[in-house]
Amino acid sequence: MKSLKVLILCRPPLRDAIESYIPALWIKEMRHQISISAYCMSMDRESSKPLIERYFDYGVEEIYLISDKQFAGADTFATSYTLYQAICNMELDFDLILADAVSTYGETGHIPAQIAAFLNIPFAINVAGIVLAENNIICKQIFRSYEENISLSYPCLLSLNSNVDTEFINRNCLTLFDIMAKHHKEIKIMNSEQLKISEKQCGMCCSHTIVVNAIKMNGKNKHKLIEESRDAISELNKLIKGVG
Amino acid sequence: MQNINTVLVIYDALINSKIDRENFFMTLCRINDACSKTYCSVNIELLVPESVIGALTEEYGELSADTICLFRTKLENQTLLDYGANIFSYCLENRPQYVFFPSSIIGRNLSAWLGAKMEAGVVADVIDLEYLNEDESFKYIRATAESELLARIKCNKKPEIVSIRGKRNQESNKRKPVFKNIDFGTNESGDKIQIMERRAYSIQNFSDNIVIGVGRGVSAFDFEIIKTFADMNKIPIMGSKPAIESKLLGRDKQIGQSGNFIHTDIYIAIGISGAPQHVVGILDCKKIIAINTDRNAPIHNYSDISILLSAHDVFSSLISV
Repeated sequence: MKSLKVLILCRPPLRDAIESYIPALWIKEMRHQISISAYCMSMDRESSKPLIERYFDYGVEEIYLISDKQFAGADTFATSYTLYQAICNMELDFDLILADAVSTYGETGHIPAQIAAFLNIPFAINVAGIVLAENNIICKQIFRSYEENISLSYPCLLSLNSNVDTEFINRNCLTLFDIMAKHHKEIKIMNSEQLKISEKQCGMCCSHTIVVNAIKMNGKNKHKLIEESRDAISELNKLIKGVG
Repeated sequence: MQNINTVLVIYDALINSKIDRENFFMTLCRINDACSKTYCSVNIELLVPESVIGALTEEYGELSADTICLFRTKLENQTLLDYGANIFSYCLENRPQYVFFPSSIIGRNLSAWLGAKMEAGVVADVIDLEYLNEDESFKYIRATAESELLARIKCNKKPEIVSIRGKRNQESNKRKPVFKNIDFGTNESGDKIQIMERRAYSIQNFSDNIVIGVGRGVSAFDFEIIKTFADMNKIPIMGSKPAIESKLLGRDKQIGQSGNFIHTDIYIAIGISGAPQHVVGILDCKKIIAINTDRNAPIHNYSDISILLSAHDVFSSLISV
């Protein structure tokens, strides 16, 4: 394999912090091993352009922003299905798809696994290590009680663990050279018509879950207030000894 | 024909470990709790590896379920994709209306994968559920990302596939299970995925009676004082998202919607404001002690004891006692 074609499925970054660009850091890491052409896809409002644009600094060749008011109200199923249709209808032919294990709404990790299911390709989750080989990719998956190394054949999808160490960040973060070499490319905004996605195949029409209402968390009505250091120490000592 | 009343609860690890068994059991407790509140008549069916059931019943007694399906396939030979495909084929054959997973990394990903395969509604990381007899359906409660509110969610399509955070309580054990053996024959991975090595972690055996949580209000200097106290008393330290982001602790120590849910007798929240994303992770603690100088911090609404003093004052005095 001379070059690897990689698609980053990026969640809309909440802020311009390095942790929001984990897949881009992995692209830089993998470039130490093999030649890579990277593309990026995100589904969000057009207003998220300035944050997604940062992926160009990491050497991504094209960024596709999937954005249309028809996509509004999509749950995770509808979001994954829309992204899947975008990948298929744009005939994007990739060896590897990288996604973040953490979604904007917490560590749900739904989108990558669903896209792998729709595309019917092998996948690895919570990946903390990647070694690229000619015909396969070796990944370290980490879970709560165990870790495993698995080998996957291409094409495949990896969802990346976001707990990267400082050494990894330092090795792969943007350099002045990267920023200066930035090509002033434009993000390509794709709407439902361009992607040939009908109203029934996206947004609320395609969602299988509904938010019925919002409720407030119940607090505790009574609590003991301590403002003296002596009382605090006595109370804490008593409690700790009590359960010890 | 669809079996309209079955809740299928699936074991969510490809290893036989105490921590995963506990997570599975606590998820079952949460489901039984929700069912017993409304006397709903769903059948609870468990899908568990045969190699795990012995340890599960030894640790927690007879599990409260109507059916326990044991599969004999060796876990060590299964990839996640194989496991998912076997669950998928079991669901196609048996048509459960609800498929519930413990909310672990594997549980959440498998539920998502299965949801796509079955074109089903999927809800992640549910912190509670309620069964409404009039609708004959569950509603699921989960935290929202940027609001102080919880969302109550329902699915408009069956099956409903959900990952659920567990609850530590004594199981009512009203149900007496019937055992059934099944075979998992699918080898979905083929030559696409191969397991090269699988290694179990040695889990630190912390006391689960008490946990200290640190937040944004704790400086690196004060953290060292708290750590000295925690080490002296063998108390694990965890934290809210700001403490993780400031690198005081590793991400595996995060409490809240994006991290761990804890179920301890005592939780000591130090310098934690009490954002809802954190609070959902501590709601099952029996006693919450908040140490925060800000008397308007929301954490005081959830605490049993509020100490309006600085962490530095309290803990430097405690270690010198």
